[in-house]
Amino acid sequence: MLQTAGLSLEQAPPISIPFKYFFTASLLFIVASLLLVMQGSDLVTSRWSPTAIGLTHLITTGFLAQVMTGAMMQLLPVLAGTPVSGVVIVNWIIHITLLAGTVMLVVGFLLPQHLMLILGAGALTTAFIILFTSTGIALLKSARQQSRARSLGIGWVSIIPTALLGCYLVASLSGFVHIDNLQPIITLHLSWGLLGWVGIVLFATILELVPMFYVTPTFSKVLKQWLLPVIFLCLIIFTISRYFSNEFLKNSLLLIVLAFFVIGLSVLINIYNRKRLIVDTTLLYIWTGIASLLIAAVVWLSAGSDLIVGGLLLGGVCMTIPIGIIYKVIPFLCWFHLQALQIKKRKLDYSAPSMKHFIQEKHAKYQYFFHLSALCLFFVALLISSKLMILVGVLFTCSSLYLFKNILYAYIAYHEEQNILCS
Amino acid sequence: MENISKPMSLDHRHCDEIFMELEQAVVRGEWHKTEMMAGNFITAMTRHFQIEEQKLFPALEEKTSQANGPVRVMVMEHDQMRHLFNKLNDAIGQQSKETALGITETLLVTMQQHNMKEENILYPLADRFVSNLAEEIAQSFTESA
Repeated sequence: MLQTAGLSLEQAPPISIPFKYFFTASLLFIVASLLLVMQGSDLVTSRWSPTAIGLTHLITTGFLAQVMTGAMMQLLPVLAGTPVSGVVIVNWIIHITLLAGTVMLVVGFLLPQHLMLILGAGALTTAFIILFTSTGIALLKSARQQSRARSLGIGWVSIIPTALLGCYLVASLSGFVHIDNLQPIITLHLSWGLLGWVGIVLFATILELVPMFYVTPTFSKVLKQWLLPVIFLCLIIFTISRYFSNEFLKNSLLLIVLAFFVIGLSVLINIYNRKRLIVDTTLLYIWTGIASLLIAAVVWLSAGSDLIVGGLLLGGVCMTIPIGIIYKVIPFLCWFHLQALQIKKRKLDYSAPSMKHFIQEKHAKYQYFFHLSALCLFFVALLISSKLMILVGVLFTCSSLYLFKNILYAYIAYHEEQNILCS
Repeated sequence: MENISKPMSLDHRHCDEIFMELEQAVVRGEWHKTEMMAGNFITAMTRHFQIEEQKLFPALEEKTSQANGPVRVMVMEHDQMRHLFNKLNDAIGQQSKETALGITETLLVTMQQHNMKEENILYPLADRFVSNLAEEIAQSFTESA
């Protein structure tokens, strides 16, 4: 007999799980936007201001981590044929610890409050360890798909050095350990977090989703299976170079930037060569995100402003691409779960509405308008006047409220249909 | 040596090509062409489903111990797509562009995630465990072409 134990092609997990992650992500996006309204001008004065560090964590461990965890829970059964065991309870713990950790860490930076920093770092590390272990076990159970999911897996491995370095920094800020020079540790924490975890996980997901959603040619094996692991390897070399102060090995960072540039360009070329000519709003979010990545790489290579690079990566990539993913994933999951329920209830006369019913195109477009305006104005504010940051914050608040409203609309529409089916 | 993955995956791409033409015809409001392309698309998809449901899946299921295994999920998704074919035909009959595009969007994502699961997981398993079917499956595509 063929061993298929653990192999499930069902669209796991229950729909409440991705909704929970996406709702929380949109709420954290609202909080980040309001912080920008209130203290945005601090960003221009120093990139190490409590506002800058708080915002960075709201976007990465807050917004992005919630979206990517929700999306990965859906992607695992499709990629590897193995959902996470005990998916409901595991996700409940991950969700709560991720949220509590982010809130405490951000409050700890803003006040500043050492106890909050320690509790926040502890909660986030716990969340990442559970997430890493549960998905790792699911991937190991996979019959043959480790190679396809390799990039996604190593992206999540990168969260471990990021979290450990973060804890080390928090321990230093709280006076538990003494570090003479924090800068190299901060650089490594940022490199593993932004280039390792965010970069690899986000692009491993994009390389899987783009051919599926936009019917593009598939990406080359070298790009899909090797380039992201090469970035991971370069990060290890970069870490060693910092330890030994080896200038030659520090060039590994240049290789990483070039690798991301190649990946970004390949995604754009692939989308250009897509077979499906329709341009929906999700594609606009992906285009904007990739364009931001490419501009960030060029600015970094030409030794431009760190603030502009950071803004492009955090605002342009981290806060933009996931919105495109949310708007593709939610309507499909609503439709798919209603179909499954219809079969379960044997209601043959029921007809589920199409995906467009759950997230209406015009509303996704309205949000894109606010989002793009906020991004453009952000760079104008960096170059011209920090006072404009208030307006940037207002525009991001509109974008985030629209995202929350659109997710809420989909949630209500799903439950209305579910009630019809169960009546 | 012939395998199962290659002809089955190529047939997915073939169905995708017809689907793209169909959707583009809906966008342009070319209803006569839409009707023709919908006919071609549904014929191609139905042939693909038949090869899977009548040849590949029973052989795979015989090798698995689980009654409600992956194969059952794939068959359920085939039924969901058949349901969408009917709804698409109705929308085309009414020449309702908005409804038809809502259905093609839903059909596309359903199809793509379904194909991904088959190509990533099911076909490689078929290559390993029921490779004796490879020639028969390749022949089925040639005969019905």
